[in-house]
Amino acid sequence: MRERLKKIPVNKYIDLALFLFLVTFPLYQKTYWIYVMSGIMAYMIFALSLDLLWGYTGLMSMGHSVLFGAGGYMVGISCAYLSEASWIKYDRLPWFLTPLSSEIGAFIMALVVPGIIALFIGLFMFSGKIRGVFFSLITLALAGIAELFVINQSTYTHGDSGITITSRTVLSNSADKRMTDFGFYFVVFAFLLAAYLLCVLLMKSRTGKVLKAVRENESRLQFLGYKPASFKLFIFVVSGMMAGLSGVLFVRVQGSINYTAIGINLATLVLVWVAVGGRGNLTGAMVGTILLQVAETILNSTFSNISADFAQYWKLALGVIILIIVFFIPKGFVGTLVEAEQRRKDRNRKERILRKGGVNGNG
Amino acid sequence: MADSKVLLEVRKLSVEFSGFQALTDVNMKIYEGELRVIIGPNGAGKTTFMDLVTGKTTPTAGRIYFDGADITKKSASEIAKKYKIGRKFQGPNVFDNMTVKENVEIATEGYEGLFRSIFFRKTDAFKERVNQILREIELYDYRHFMACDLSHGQRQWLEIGMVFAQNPKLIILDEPTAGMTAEETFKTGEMIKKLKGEHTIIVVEHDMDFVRQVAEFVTVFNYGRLLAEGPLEEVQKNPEVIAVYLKED
Repeated sequence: MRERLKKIPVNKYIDLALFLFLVTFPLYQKTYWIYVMSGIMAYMIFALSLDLLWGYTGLMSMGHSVLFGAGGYMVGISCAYLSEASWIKYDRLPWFLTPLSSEIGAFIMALVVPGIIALFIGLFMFSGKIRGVFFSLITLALAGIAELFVINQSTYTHGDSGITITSRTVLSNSADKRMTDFGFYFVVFAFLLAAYLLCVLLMKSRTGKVLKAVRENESRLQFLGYKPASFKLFIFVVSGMMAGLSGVLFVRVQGSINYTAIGINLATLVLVWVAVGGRGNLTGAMVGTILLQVAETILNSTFSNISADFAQYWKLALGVIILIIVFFIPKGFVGTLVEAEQRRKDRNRKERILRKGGVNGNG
Repeated sequence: MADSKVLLEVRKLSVEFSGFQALTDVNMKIYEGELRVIIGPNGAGKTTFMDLVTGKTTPTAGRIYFDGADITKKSASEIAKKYKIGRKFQGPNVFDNMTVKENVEIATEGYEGLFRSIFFRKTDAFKERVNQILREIELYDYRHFMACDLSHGQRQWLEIGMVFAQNPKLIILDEPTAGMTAEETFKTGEMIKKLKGEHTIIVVEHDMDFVRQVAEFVTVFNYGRLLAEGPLEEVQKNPEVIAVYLKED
């Protein structure tokens, strides 16, 4: 039993602690923090989806918010349509958005549309053999385009004012079926747990190992008989759908969506969360999100309390903190821990091999 | 050898890289079960020849036949998966930040498709096969190490092991002993000799001690052309070969 416990990597214990913390959090916290933490958990799903892509597969998407926002906007448009928001001038949704007129349809669309967007971006990128920094730059441009697109399509998106959403359950879009902050917290928590378990299973599978191999040495993989493009496309679509889900949950928590949820701002934020936490171990993505978002909330209110003129500088303070972290621990908090553990285990193994006398292993 | 089946045949194979003629009219036959050593000075076109056979580069002229099929313009992954040609690259080319065991598991044949990999479960036979390969390449004790933490020679062995795991019909080893100590080189030679007969093997090598250890039939390349071919003793006496190559030794 003790041997088996020793084999579990350190980040799994952090995961366990994190989920225990999250599940008990609302029991002793005020509504404000429950509300804040619900939003953070939705962001954690988003960070996990980027970690699949960036941390494991090595595809640094600088426009992952496009998929987050696509999910969010599906629910937003549906909500506005069903609750007949005052700014709506159209009578019917266009044919490709008709599923949004039902509540379940909107939820499905919020998963399917980001999936389809990811599929098309992926087909274009991976069959054209676009790699590395070019992938990042193109996705960054897409985030910029998406931002302008939703501002321009004001008939459905209400331009730069965004859409206010009055309902708060997973499926319902009507204002009278509203869950409390406390109740909805656990809905988000359940989705986070499910998303996390899905990621763990997927990355433990052979597919997960192949994705790591894509990150490590894509061209070598071809000579082993794999087609890296199909694996990249698969994970991009899975990650896109997860990002869409997180978008839905976040919009429901926050009660509104505007262009910032689809643009470069959020796309960069999520990169920072994952970088600060540590890439490629899932824990880092979640820890990074929670640390930076809590820091942001606290800094924001602290700076606002000092004086109204001073309020805007909280971003500067946060930026400096992030720079310091990335400079001193480039692998992120959890990444550094995991690496230290791996090194310690390697040392022990080396000693054991030397004790056995020689490199020849038959055991 | 004449009575056994031709596994790989190249006819009038040429390739040109923006004006530079890397290979010119190479004709060559490799028989099933053979261990062929290709030697030649730097820039002779040995690695280019491997690139053409494994689908990394496409030839400007000529044809490549493998096991009766024309594989001239097939993709690298198709050649590896469908036609089963496994290749070890020059200098260890492995998955650095993955464990030794994971490296071998990834290489193990039969689960290269996306859907098969999603629903893949490790069977006992699979585990046994991976462990057997790890023992053959003497890295069983190192199976949980990251590939980047191994010594240079061990990384070479790991890549050789990955090629075994593919269970290919034709094994191509590009400078398998580069950067190895004399002892490691000898061990590698014994590993390769053990495979002879079960597999068809092409080895590109510079180290003449190693060539003498394993080679029977040798092909010599020079300036992108096939210079000589024959049993090692015969080739060693060939004055042309001595002039371009063996005198360095």
